Order: sequence, then C-alpha cells, then structure tokens
Amino acid sequence: MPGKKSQKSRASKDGGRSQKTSKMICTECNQEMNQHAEKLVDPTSSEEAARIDPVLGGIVAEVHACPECGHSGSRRAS
Amino acid sequence: MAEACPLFIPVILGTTRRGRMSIHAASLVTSELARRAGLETELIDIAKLPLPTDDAGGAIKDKGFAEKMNRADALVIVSPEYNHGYSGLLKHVLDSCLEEYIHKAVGIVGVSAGPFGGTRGIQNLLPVMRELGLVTIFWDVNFSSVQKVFDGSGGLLDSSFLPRIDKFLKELIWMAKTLRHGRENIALE
Repeated sequence: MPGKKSQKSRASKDGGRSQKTSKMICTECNQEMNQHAEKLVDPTSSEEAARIDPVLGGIVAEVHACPECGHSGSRRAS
Repeated sequence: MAEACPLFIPVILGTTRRGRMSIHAASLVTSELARRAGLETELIDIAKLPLPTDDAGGAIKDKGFAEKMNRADALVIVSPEYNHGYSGLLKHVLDSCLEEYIHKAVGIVGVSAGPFGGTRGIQNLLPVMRELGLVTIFWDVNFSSVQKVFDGSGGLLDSSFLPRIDKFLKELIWMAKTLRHGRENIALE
C-alpha cells in the first residue's frame, strides 16, 4: 500500500501503452492522493472528442482519494 | 483517513411524484441510519434539486449535490417502481455526476403499491449502478403494499421492516468502510 513516502510517479496502463503519471495533490490538505480507479467516460467537449483513445473508445478519467482527509478528486488521464 | 471521521451515507429519494409514499420509506431509513454511531446521513429529495431538463449529464451538475456525492462513502437510493422501472428524473439526477460515485457502496430500497416491493425497478437500476462505478450490496429493502406499511403521516405500521433495514444497513456500512479503505490506501496497479 502506498504511504506518504511513496514514489512521486508510477506507470499506469492506458490502452496497452505505459505512461508516467504524477501524484494528484489533495486540494483540502495538500497530501499526495491515492489513485484507486480509472474510468472510461464519454467526451464532454469537441476538444475531448478529438482525444478519444482509439483503443479503449473513450476518455480515461483517473479517480483519486486522499488518505489523510478522504477528499476525492478526478482528472483526465492524458 | 482518521478512523474517527464519520462515514457519510446520504439517502436519495428517487421520485418527484406528488403524494409519494416513498418519502416515508426514505425518512425511515434515514432515521435508522442517523441512530448509528460513527456516521452521518441526510435525506436528499430529488424534487428539491434545481436541475434543468433541457440538457443532461455533467453539463447540468448541481454543485451542492456533486459535493455531497463526492463526500459520500455510500448511498441509499429509495426508488418507487414506475411501470416496472425507476423514475426518469432519478436517472437524470444520477447522470449529473460520475467520478464522484466511483468505488462507493450503494444499497437500493424498492417501493411499490403492489406486492413486489419495487423489485423490478431495482433489477433495472443495477446495471446503471455498475456503470456509475457504484458497488451494489446484496441486501435490498422492499416496501410492498406501501400504503399498508405507513399511515398517512409516515408512522410505521409494520415493525417487521426494522430488522430487515438493520441487515441492509449493516451490510452497506461494512461495504462503505471497506471501500473507503481501498480508495484511500490501495493503489490501482
């Protein structure tokens, strides 16, 4: 399990391609958050529609939670 | 997260129909949740959410509702059965969020005037829950012939529902605690 001293970046699988992602920082308590999910979502704009992952068929959203305060956050994977 | 931080388990009343009996079921489940130590709850009435109907999805996200879904560790959805399904406005509200639900527990309470207690509506909700990233529990509460379960002012006439609600909530709380631990501590490999 990752702790506060866990490495700053990790490799994640995205459409079969490995990419480095940085830790998301909690906006409530400034701690590193834990990425616990990737969710395929529909694009919400024409700009996102142009960035649909051709392998997965959608946009990948990362979902993170803060081990300190429980706050949740999300962002697009790329 | 500090163990002392209470779980937040709101109850969503999934109908706007006038004269709805589901409000009594939702109020009862909310009060049973509120009696338990270590958690907070509130009743969210979708009839009071100011969501427009000329658009849908994240584009109409209500800030207050989204913040509650973000904070929630689990949800209870109280859903009457409409023609073997659930209400369209419940789906409209649920669709306004997505990432906020992921890896959180959900339990469903079905309500009907007939004998099946909303089971067909619940079955139709299950695939929606899955796509929203919610984790369903295996206990439901089914208020069949709801007009016989509550009096006109919401008083419970059939106390046999209390142990059923107890089983339902115990499972929901276990799942909420487990998923909170996972969200906060177990990284996606």
